[in-house]
Amino acid sequence: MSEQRKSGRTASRGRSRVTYSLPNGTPTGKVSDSATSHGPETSSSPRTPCVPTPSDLVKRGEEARKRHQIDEALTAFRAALLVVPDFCDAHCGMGYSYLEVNMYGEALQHLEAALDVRPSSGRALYGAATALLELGRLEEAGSYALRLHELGDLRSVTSSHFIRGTIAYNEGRFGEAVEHLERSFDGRGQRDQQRTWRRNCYLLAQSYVELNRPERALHYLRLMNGVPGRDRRREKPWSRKVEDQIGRLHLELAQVSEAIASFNRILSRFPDDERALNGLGQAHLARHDGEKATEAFRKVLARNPNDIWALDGMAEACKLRGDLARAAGYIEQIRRLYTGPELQIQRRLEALGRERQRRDAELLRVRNIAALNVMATGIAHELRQPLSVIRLAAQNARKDVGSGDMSQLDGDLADIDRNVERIDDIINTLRRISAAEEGETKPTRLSEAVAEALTLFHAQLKNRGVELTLGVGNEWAMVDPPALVQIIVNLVSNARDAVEGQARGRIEIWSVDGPSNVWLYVRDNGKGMTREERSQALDPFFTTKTGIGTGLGLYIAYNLARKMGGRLSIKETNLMKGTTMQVELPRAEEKSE
Amino acid sequence: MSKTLAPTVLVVEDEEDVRRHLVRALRREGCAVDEAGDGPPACERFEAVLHPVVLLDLRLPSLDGLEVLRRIKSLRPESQVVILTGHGGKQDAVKGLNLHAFRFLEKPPDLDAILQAVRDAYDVYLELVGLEATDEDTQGSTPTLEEVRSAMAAVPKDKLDPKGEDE
Repeated sequence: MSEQRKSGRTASRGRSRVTYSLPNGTPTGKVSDSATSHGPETSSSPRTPCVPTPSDLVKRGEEARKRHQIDEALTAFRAALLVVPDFCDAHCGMGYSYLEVNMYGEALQHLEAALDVRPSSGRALYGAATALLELGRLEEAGSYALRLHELGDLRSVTSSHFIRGTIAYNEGRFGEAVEHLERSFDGRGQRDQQRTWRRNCYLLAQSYVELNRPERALHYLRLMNGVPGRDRRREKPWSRKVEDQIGRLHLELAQVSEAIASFNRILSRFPDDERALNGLGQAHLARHDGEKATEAFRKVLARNPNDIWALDGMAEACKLRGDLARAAGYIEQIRRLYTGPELQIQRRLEALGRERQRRDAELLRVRNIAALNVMATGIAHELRQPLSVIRLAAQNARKDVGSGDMSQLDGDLADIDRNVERIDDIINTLRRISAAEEGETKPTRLSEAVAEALTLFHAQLKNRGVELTLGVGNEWAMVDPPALVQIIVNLVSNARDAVEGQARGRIEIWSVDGPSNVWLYVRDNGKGMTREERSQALDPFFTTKTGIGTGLGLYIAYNLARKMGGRLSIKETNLMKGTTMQVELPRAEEKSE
Repeated sequence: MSKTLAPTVLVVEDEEDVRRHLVRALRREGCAVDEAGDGPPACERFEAVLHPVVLLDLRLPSLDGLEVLRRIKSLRPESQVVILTGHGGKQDAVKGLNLHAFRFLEKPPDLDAILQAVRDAYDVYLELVGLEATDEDTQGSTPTLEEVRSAMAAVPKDKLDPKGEDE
């Protein structure tokens, strides 16, 4: 046995060290045994090992991925996963490979699987956040970014800033975007000239453009755009689009000669680029060089006689040279174009766009009506209980009165009165949900809120054989305590319903501490949600439960969390595997009594 | 109404106000009434008394009404269960009927409809246990021990194995 192990080690020399441990009894155990028995032969030719170990496969996959041979990479990772189904690195590899071919849903699945194995994997967190960004699920991307930040090392923090900056940019909060992106830019230093670094620069530049700070925008655009053709060996990636923007920003700043240089740089590679020619023409106009401007615009018009920018530029150039008749001719041509078919098509396209907007609005309205229908059902259901009491009390009273018995009349009327009040309460609650008053926030210990909420559940959970695991630490949050309790009650009751019918229902509640926020998680191993259910889960009156609940629980919880400056989101949900809900809350310093 | 309404009824309803009114109405009609506010005590009560008619709310705090129905029917198939439901859930109705619920009534319920359902359920119960309700004296039609013995003698021996039913 020890001899076999020794020869096995020889066999794997020259390859990567195996750093994972195989679970006992997997088929691979056998495979590697037979591999080691061939030890002496294979050790002479380490380049052709008989059976690659999963970490070899992962290494091979990563190499293929770096060569952009995604199919090969995927095959390698998949093979590794066949052997060790929860191999974090292999899942990561799968995720990143899918990211590369823009299959974000698949990427996300694997990266979340990787996170299941190793929740603190910065690489998986970053990948998952990127996938979520691409899928437009910004809120979830944000929460991953925050987790990434928590890891604390420079790389993770940098990536976290990058993600958060991208989110802010996408949501139109450019000031915030700039803050994050500047930090992630600093974190990167000159370390890498990779795609992400360029993207960082690009987003920074676009944010500065939006903030009307062209100098800063220019700075980053120029940083990311290499100068083409000077030194082939040290050539940086260069983009025509970026160069065009550089030219235009120079123009805006009245730095005419720099603008001309930029446009010429494009034209030296793409002599027919109409945008660049127009830009060049504008630049020449800006320094009153009618001749050169005319030359540029003429080139555009030779290719596209109806280019409005060029015609406009030509008219300006003619004016510069004092040729007013010619200028009038160009202007006349523009006028004709505006009534011509080309422009009509343009206008029709615009009309179509407006039509589409109208239709989208209509769709939204229909969806709201659908929500209203569900709402009607929900309210009807809530109201039936007090209505039952009212009806029964009235009918009982009438029967009694009919037989001359008045003894219980007062009690019946009291029942009716009380239940009318209850119906009124329900209606008021419904109204409050949408316009909830601000509750008083104060430092609150998470564990206390959880304990309070759980008083409503202990008996039920025990009754149903649901196992409850608590991992709430000593975090303090700045919240309105009853609101937080209500949020927890909602989440736990959802979890309870989700594990209904499960042989071994399990609910876990735990918390995570952060520098400015704390997180509370509620996970169940219940039935999970379909993609469609997930997308509607936070909608008011959406429910999958026939009979119980109004479909308002999560909606209320979501709004309560938001009002306290927190956030509630579905962190993860898998059909038949369960759901994890996340509540982010502003952190509070421990109360000093 | 030709028949006397006097079954022992079990009312299972978690909402106390609703339950109180149901119990009162049934008592007025001469029923002996037991009550329970949740599934487990309801099952316990039923096991002890084996009520001929049960009025059952489907939505109960800790044990689903349908489950209560299933247990009642397995303890005593002849007992009839009238179901009260707060929602017209089709699925529940189908499940309930598959479990041989006697009737579905929606909330808010009409008292007369409930009383009628209880009467009808009791009639069916009496039919199933081989008794006819009489106007005056239901005791009179209870079979004497002799009658039971002679009835059993007419049945082939192998069908009398009491355990043969479920297995």
